[in-house]
Amino acid sequence: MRLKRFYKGLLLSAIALTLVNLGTAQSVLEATVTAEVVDILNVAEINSLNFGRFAPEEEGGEITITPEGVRTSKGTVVLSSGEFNAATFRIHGTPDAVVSVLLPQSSIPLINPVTGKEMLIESWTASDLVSESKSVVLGNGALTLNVGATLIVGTIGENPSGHYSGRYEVVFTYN
Amino acid sequence: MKSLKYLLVAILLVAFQPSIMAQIQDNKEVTAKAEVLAPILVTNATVMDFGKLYAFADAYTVTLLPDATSDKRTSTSANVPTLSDGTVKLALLDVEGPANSSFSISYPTTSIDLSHAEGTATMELSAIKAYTLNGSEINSAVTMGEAGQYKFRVGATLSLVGGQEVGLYEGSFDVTVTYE
Repeated sequence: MRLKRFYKGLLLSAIALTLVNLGTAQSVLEATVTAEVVDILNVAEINSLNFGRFAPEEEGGEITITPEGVRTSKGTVVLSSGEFNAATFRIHGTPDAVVSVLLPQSSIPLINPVTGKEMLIESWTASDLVSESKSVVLGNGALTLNVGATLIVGTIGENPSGHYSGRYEVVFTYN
Repeated sequence: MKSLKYLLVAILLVAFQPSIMAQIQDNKEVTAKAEVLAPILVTNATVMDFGKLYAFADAYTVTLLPDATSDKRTSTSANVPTLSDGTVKLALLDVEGPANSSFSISYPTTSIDLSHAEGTATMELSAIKAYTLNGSEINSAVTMGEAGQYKFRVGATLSLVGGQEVGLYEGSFDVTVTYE
């Protein structure tokens, strides 16, 4: 009987020791997960870039339209009356989001489909860009962005009269 | 004669007492051992962050995976968000314990919900997985380093419904490390 009690005591001690050790053999961490859902970035072209009507004359030159829509010329280029304007884009997205704007990095040709002659657009600029990051802040979720550029005009021989057109890409990206 | 018999029995009893006693009592010196282990502890160095995700008209999923140089997202949608989002990362967890000890890692096998910070919308988080620092999936017990430390990462898959409500979402789940 005494022996039985002795072994029972030993067994209980062993169990107690084991239970004590289990308390420090495990650790639980509550891991956090986060995500942010944003509106799709949507951009529409409201106005196309339009250098308007002009005459190259003997030596040609260049025409610049600023994002604010101011048109100037250099060389022998003579500006005529009629419509001209900077390009206008309407950007929709998540309020207060920062959107980077990538303008064309190389010259874009405008081509006369009849003659095949071309003029090059370069020196693209945009309004409201944060200069270092080349980005805009959407504020209430919408923003209007104006884009200007410079058209290099050849002589009347290089660029005879007619309509010239081309396409270019502006890339808008959430930051 | 009788008394002689009793005397003989008594003598015999006295003579054999040690062996008789030996049969009803046996003393042995035994060794008891115990090893007290330092507590195992897991802490969170980096929160799991899916970054910015678009709300599309169609439902889609996004999975956080480890990459050689940085964590990445893959998606069932062709329009995988290409946000240059530096916050995208798997959770990074640190474990401390005795050097070279073996332990297991466990986490939920069923999905949990991330809740909208200001509304009632939710997103389902599932397929939680643990990875070594070099990107291998952990499917069995691991061994603590010689310095008594071990780091691992946790990724998962997030499911967005069509037209998922815009905003910040957050959720949590338990990760358990246990001595083997």
